[in-house]
Amino acid sequence: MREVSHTPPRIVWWALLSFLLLIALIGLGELGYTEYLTSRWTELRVEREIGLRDQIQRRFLEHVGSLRRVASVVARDSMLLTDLISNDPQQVLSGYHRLNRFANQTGFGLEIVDPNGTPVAWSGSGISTEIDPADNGDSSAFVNASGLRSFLSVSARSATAGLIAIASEAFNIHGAVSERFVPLESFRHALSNELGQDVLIVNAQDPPSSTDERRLRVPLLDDTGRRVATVLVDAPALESEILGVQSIVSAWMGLLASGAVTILGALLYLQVVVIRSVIVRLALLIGLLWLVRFSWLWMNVPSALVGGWIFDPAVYASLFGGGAASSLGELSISATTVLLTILLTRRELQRIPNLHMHSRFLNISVLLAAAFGLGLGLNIAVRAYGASLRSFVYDSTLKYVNPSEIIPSAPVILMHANILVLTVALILLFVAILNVMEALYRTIRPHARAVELLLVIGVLYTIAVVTFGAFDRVPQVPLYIPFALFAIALVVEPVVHKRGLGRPLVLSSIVVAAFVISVPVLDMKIHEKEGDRLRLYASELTQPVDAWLSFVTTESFRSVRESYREVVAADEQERANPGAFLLWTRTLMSGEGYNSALALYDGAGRELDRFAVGMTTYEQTELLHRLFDVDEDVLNVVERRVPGGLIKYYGLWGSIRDADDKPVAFGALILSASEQALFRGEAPVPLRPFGTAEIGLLNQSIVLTEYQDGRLAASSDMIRHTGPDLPEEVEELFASGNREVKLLEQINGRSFEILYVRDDSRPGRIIGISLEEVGFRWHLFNLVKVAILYAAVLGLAIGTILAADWNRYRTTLTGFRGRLIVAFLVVAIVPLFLFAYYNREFARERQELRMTGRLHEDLKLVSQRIVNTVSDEEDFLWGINDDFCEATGSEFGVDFSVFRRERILASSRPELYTSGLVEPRLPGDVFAKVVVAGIGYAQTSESIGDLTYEVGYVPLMLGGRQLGVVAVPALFRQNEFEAEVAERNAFTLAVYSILVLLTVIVGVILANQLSQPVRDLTKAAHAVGEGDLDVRVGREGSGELKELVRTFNEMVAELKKSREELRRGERERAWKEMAKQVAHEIKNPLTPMRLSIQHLRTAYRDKAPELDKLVEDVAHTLIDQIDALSRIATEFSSFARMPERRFERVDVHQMLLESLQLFSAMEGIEMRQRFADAKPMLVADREELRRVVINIIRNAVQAMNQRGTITVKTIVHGNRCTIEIADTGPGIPEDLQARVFEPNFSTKTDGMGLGLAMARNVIEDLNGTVTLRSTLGGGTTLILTLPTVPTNP
Amino acid sequence: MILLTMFLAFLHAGVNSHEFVGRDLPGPHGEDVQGAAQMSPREIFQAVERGITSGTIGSLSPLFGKQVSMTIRGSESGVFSSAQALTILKNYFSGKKPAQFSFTRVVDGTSNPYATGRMTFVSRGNKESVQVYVSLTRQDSDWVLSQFNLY
Repeated sequence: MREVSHTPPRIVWWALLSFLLLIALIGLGELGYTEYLTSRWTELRVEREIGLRDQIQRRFLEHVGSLRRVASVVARDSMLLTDLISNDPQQVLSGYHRLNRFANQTGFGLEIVDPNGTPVAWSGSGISTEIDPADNGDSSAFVNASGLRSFLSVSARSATAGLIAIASEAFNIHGAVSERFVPLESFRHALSNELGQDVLIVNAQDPPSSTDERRLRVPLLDDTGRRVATVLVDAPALESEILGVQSIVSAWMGLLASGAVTILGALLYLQVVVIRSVIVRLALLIGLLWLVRFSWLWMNVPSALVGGWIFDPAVYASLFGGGAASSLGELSISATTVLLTILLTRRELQRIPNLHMHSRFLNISVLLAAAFGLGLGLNIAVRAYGASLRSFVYDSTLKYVNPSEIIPSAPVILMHANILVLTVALILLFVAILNVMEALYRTIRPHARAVELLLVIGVLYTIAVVTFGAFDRVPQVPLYIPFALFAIALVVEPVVHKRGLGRPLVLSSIVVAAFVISVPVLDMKIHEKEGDRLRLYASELTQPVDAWLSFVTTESFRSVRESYREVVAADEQERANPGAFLLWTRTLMSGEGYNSALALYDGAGRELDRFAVGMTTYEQTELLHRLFDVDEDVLNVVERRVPGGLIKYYGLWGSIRDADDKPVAFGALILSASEQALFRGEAPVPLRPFGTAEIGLLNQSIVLTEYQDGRLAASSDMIRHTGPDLPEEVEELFASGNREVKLLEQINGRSFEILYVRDDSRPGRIIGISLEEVGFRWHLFNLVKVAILYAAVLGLAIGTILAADWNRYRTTLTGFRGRLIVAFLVVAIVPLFLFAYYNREFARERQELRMTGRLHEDLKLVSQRIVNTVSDEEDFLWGINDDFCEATGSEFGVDFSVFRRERILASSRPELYTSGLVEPRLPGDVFAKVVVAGIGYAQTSESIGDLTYEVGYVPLMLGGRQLGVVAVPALFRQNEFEAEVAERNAFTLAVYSILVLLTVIVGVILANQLSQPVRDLTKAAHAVGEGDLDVRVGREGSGELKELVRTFNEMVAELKKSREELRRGERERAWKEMAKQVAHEIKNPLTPMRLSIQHLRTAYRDKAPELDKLVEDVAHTLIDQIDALSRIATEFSSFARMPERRFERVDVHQMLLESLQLFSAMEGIEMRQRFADAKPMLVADREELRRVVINIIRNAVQAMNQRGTITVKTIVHGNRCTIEIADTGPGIPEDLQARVFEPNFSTKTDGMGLGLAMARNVIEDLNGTVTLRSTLGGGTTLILTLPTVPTNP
Repeated sequence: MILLTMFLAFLHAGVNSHEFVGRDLPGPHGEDVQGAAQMSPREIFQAVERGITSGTIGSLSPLFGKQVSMTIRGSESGVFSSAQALTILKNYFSGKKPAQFSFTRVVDGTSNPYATGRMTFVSRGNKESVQVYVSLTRQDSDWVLSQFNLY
């Protein structure tokens, strides 16, 4: 007998063959194409080069064309231009409003200049200096540099007052610093992406900076043929072409090959699955599964085709499994394979028929040893699980705990999904192994009670845990986890065993268990990593000299020298001043974002130029002074004590020599190890060495404290400035030889975890790093976020199950209770979400109001200081300079800038304007509002790269005249703002989630209570439908429901009475029918008998000559007819009088298998079985039931004319079992279907037609039903429904 | 049995991951690489030189610290685990054939040993060069690579 068909469809073979053919073809194609490229490369190179030039030029002209169109549209809009030059402020504001709209719609910077080239109005970024209308007046494209950035602009002359409209877009971003701080889209960026290489753009006037013949110089010509700039791009190279082809080919071949291996795996699966030995089958199946998984890995599928963060090792990479976890994507595939392995194992272990079969090989000691071994195996799995979670935390840059976001990032979501999958796999492994342990024990104690079983297995497992723990040097999970898993498996195992895995309730239980297991382990690993980071940070702080910073300083000075020589050699005119900023942008220190300064001096020692970022003039002067105290080219490390602690500065000065080794200039360079950059108190980018931003995962404040000889020397926290000296306890611990000490301390009511580290390079110096302990609210917040993620994954899985088996769950979901639950959820959750949303918005508005209020305060403070300082306009122009701003800014703790009309006049951070990171003029709309319209306050959102912040502007008034505009950025409070939003997130999300959970629980309970009588009714109605008229609804409910239940019960009672009467009537009718049939059947043989006897008597009277022969014939006939009568009697006897029944517990599947066995040798008949997972038992006469089934199968075999398929299927639903026996015969016509159970009905030539009638009698006597489903040409199915009894008596 | 073997392999990987700072671990290619515990800073720099020149980045695995600060020009920048650092470096060097490399400056007498040198390699048919900077730090009693910069 064959269980399932193992012949794969032909299409599978064709698919496999096609894959192999395609692989061969692609391989041949690659060989041929490579050969073609190599042989004709000389001509091809020229073609490629022309193509590349055309592509670059075409792209450039497209950009120029877009700019020209926009500039022309603006130039033709006379109403807009008239508004902008109007004397009416309202008209100007209206004009600016429209100009802004234009700029926002196109994404271009727009500028209107008068015939002299003086700016009239502007919006967005673009040219910020005056242009020469003669050169750039009409329709010409030109490049305009502004600090780090340059812009491509196109102008269009207007008929309105000779105004010129200019549209601009970012063209190029210079310097290494831009890569990090100004990730701005530009023409160069777009071109680099398109060409797949980092292209360089040099201005039209720039000298050739490369003599490498492999770099192609492509001039960018505008549509008048004028060169605007030059692009430097890699020239087409044969090796590059071949590698490109190989990379594409290998990706596709990998995909095809892995597809082929997968198909092959499926084919092998069909062969392996029929192997009888469970162990061999399981081993081969697991081997096959992992072979397919690793074949994908070896062929780089799908990583070679997908890419992105999902396969980026910078997100996650581990050495687990030889590359099987080398990225998040690979890990996801591997985790899924692990889960499949466990599911496969569980399935196969369940199929081990009966360990009693092998009991002769087993004895008590072997069994106990095996159970102990399995316990050890489980411990190994738990350890591997812990190590995996450790890797997920340590080998990743994922921020698992990010309070500023409610929805975690996509990589974090995927990682949590992986953790969930692995945890579920671990729980299922426990369930499977527990099953095996139980089975093992039952081989020697078949009737052991559950308590005894639990005790023995529990003791063996505990011994295994303790034994494993003794050898495990570095435990990966807390000790309670193996026991928690064991307990979970004990609870889950019976549910899984009874209901199967694919039930939503079972799945939910397992996911909840996975949450309980995974979250504490993950939390532990995160905490461990945080501690390690703290130690690392401490070790960085106590390094005597940071090698990297020393190296950056010397390397930067080397590049200053080189760049200076290059620039001066290229353009003699710039010999006097090559620009400190330009040279700075080419250094490593600018690219790394360090606060630094570069000063250039001529041969006589006069300062030519200076550029500094993140350093005050006072700092620069002091440090340069100290720097020149040491020799040339000697690295000087200077330390300065500031309120936040100690800052190291690395400095170097030296001569810059020309090609003849003559000194032409001097340079001095300073680098600060401080993390402050851009704005006061703000650290927008985590800078090396390990920034504090990378520690403190929960927005904890980190305080650095320095002690010298036990006395507090400095602290980054004002509270600690007046705090205590080094605790004696710490001193004692250090004195006893500890290198580091970790303590929990309470400071001003706040709990801190403090790591004290001794600085070996400086006797008596101890650094304390305090990390504030996070409150319960944060833990709850993170817990809720993970819970939501798990719920989402569970929801997805349940959704899939429901969709796949919709028929089963439709009633539940669309039923009364389902609708009630949904209604409850909607009514309860929607207002909660709305409330949450409005609460957040309200919080945001309040924050913004507060920020605006503080901006007002700061602006007022700064304005008043300026107004009090200057006496008139001339004083303002000369007195308000960068030094004044810097000093005032330091005093007030606020950065600000002062504008004279639209231009920057002075700033406390002048380098931001010099570098072009911030536009050196007022935003157009601010100019219109504050300067033109005289509005007292304006606020805009501005950005540096990805960093967005608010800026407030107020006019500076003196004696009724506007001197200029003061601007204060609110960026320095962004962290504060985000921290507050995060705290609100933490509070609100946790509270809302608990409320939602409570709502769901209450909703489900209420829905259950309300719907219970209805569900009881439905269940009872189903039972009645299946013929059970003894059923009654016990729970009556109240009101209309009570009436309905009472009526239902009465109706069923009536039905039962009617059925009894009907049955009696039917029985009578049947007996009458049978009597008629008996009479008819008996008459049939009697007639020939009578005729024969009459014939014999006549022959005897007539003395017939061949009387002997006649007697013989008559006797023969009589015997035949008597035999017929005997057969009739036997059939009727067996129909009417059954032998006494012997009722017993019958295993339905076993009984069916025995019945099917009888037909296994039949040629031409394929027997299929599709049994339910559960094992139905019923009480019946086994032999009688078997006869019924055999009779039905025999009928089916005869109906199919000995050729076809018979499928026997069982379904268990509640306390009933359905047996479906389906054939592929011709089917029964509809008009005959109603008669097949009648006693005398048969379509066959032999037999009395009593088989199905008998079958129905037997089944009905067992309180079951028999129904028939048949379609002509579509086969016939007999459906037997019988009541079951519990599996365990 | 298979399951047990699989988990033993899993366990082995877990142990490696945890104690990856590399004491007497076999190299990924099967060759025995002396653990960082027995190596002086100069020997570590020489091993880095050999690993880069021969293109066997995997051989550097026992030399990395738990956390490695890494910057690759135009690519990754940040603090990574040893496993991540190794994978990132392997990816970076795949398709790049080192033509010439040696440390031109080695400072190993301090508590912060570092070395730097220029590496030339051929990538997609083009010759390119990057500056290599590596520095060591003490982890327990061993010297380990804590910074690896290519710019």
